[in-house]
Amino acid sequence: MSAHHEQSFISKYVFSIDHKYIAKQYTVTGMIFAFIGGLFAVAFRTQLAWPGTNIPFIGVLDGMKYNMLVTNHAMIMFFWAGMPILLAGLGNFVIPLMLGADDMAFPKLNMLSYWIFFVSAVLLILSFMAPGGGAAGGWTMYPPLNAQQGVDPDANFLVNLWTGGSLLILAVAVEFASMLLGGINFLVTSLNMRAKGMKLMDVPAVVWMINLATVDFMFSVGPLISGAVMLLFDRIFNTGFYDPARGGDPILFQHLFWFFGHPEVYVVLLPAIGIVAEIVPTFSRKPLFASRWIIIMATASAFIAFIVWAHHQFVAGIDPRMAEFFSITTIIISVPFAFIFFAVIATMFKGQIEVKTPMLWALGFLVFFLVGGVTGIFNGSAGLDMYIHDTYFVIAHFHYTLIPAVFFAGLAALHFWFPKATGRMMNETLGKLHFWITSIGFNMFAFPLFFSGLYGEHRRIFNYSSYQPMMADWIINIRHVATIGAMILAAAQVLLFINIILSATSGEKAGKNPWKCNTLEWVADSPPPHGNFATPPSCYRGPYEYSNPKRSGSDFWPQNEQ
Amino acid sequence: MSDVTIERVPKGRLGVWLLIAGEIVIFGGFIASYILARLEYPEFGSKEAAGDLNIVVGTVNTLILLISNWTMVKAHEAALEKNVAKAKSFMIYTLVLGLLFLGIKLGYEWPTDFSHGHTISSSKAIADQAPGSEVMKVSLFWSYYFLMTGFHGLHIVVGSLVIFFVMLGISGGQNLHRVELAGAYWHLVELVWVILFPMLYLIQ
Amino acid sequence: MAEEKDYHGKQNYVMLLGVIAVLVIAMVGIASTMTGSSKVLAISALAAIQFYVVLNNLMHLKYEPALITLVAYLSVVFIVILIFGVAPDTLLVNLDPSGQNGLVFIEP
Repeated sequence: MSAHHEQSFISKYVFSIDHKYIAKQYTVTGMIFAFIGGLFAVAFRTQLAWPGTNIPFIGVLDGMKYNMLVTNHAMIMFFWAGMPILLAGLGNFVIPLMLGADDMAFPKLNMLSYWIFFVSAVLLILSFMAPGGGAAGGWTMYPPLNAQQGVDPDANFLVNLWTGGSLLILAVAVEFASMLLGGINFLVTSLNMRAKGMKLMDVPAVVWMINLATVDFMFSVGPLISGAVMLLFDRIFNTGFYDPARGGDPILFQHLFWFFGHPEVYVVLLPAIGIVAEIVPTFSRKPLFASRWIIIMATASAFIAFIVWAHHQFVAGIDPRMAEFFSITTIIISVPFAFIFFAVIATMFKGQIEVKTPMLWALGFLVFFLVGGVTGIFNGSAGLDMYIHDTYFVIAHFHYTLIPAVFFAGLAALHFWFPKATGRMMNETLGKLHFWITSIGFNMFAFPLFFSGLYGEHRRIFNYSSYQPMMADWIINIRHVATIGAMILAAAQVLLFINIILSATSGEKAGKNPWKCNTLEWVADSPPPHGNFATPPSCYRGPYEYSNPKRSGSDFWPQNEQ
Repeated sequence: MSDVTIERVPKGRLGVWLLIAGEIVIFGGFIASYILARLEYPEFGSKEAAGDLNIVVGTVNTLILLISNWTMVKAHEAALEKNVAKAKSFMIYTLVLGLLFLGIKLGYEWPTDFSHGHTISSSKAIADQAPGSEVMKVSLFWSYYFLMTGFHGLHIVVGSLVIFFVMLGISGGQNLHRVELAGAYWHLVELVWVILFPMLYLIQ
Repeated sequence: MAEEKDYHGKQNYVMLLGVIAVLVIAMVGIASTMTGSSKVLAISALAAIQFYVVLNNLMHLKYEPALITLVAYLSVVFIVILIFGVAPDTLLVNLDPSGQNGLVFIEP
């Protein structure tokens, strides 16, 4: 319990080693980038719906600018919004609090990983200022295109480094190094600094899920770091690792990328499921159904996640026998998630459900993610994937998985833990309005794309005017609807911004435990001081003892009470 | 920290091992890529490609690195006995041997390779002269060689810095457990070299 | 601090050093005498033994708690998975006699 003394401005707000401030830094940075990434999406959707429109600040999109926006939209949303918010921000906030610890295991390493992340964000922004503009080779960075685009083979390596593509690769590699350090911190904290008496099965599901996501990340990111270094060397030192004419193999990069890239999907998804598994019992006043099996199933899926990667490459010319294998594993991995879904739904059965804003977002996650999960089975079957690969069907599928995971579950977490982080409640009316407008915008944008994708609309074309089959009236209408949906989705976030500002400054005061929740973070003051707990709490039972008949007088039983 | 019980692994140790696991996976990415490139082009590691490597110097270097690992273990043993002076002197030996390894690698082996015309981008030079020749594919070996030995050398530099700062930090007899953690990181360098050496030098 | 807890047994490090050194010399000897795939196999086997000895004895993995052993071996396991997942692609390219058609026309 060190350092209850007053901290200077710099050490409190800038180079803070307090996990709660670091969590806020990650979350705010992530939200800013999410907004930028969303605006990119609106810009290129506008181009698709009304080709040749003059877009404010960007102008008329040509092919190159369009590719640049698409590439960076995906990169930003995945690595600079999804991961910092769901993994780094949420993990930093909830892990020490839920475990009853005073801070992370290595607070200075924690600060370092945020600032390395910040450097990666600066590199990302610099990549737009490089000559030739930002990277435009697709977010998967596939060579040979990305090994050559914007590169002058005879120039100095510094010249080639100062290109959008190289800087983006560098930014990604730096970001992974930062998350790797952060992940070490998470795992050590969770294994080592649990409150007295807290057994592994007493750890709340969300902490479990964040740690499983971290394991997935840590053991899969290595090949991509090495693959990214090789790609960078292809660009700046003229090596030929991925150049088939010089003995290299572009498929190798796809393997290295997706060996990381698929577990990365679960890095984002598992914390989201954890959040929902935390919120649904709280607002149903019932124990989490089969909580032990949820954790076992999540662990199983975290490991199966390592043997599904090549389902992204069915059309890349991989061995057909391997395609069969990866189809089967891909369909198998839906089993644990189906189990978790049923268990969470069973939690609500006969519960006293109270639909507050966090619960609304959690329910939104359950409903919309289901669409993404089911269509994932279509994509996982090698035969069908040959047809729908690279169409808008795939786009719709992964937006139905990632938007519920990052935004619906992420916002559920924001509304749920906002009282703890700031000491004030968020506005319910604004929150519900925000939820409904976001849901409408999201579904308007993503659902129609299933149909145009099945019809054969290809995802890498920036202007369909010269493709007659793609200019039927109904398909043009779909593009218009989807674009308007994306605009609504982006505009709705203004409500969130207003809500955060209003609630943080003049919201209703939240007590220690506004949701009547069991886990240890609600024992601390709101907001928790530096060092979190006045006395280190002890843990006597699991986190989901709601409506326990042995407990008289209240329908919840905090983990720290005898 | 007050609540660390016996069945819980000390955090420094756990952290270092997670870092080591992460590094093994990063090196594993390089090693896997090399193995796959080799499987694809059997001529890849042929005498024409890798014949200019000096196996004798490589072996000597391997043994130097091995001895440096032994001195590091001795430093750890001394730290367990709380013998600061002994631990420090063994750490200095380790540093000297590590730098010797690096010196031979950067000061002798690489310049020799350069003088034979092999650089990290030698496939580019060959491609300019004789486009489409088979030699080009073979020369990718040198890209991998410089990439992996360079990355390994980088870890030696980092490991040396860690050992150096740990050495400064134990003067008063405190933080002796750090010697072991620095040692674990240093052994990682050996662990990787045990695979890299036969892969690059011997299997031709 | 619990950091000081001892996880070590006594080992004869000189002998350990000798074993690894002998293995290195043996590898070099094999490299200069044997040829073909038997050489590759023999060297790989010796390298694997060295890897195991370094991990287990030099890095004291055999004295560490089960959790750390798990972490260390998981990283190796995942790399092996990676190699086995990718290897069929690279190997099959060679099976295609023309080298032009990629994989599509090969009977599985």
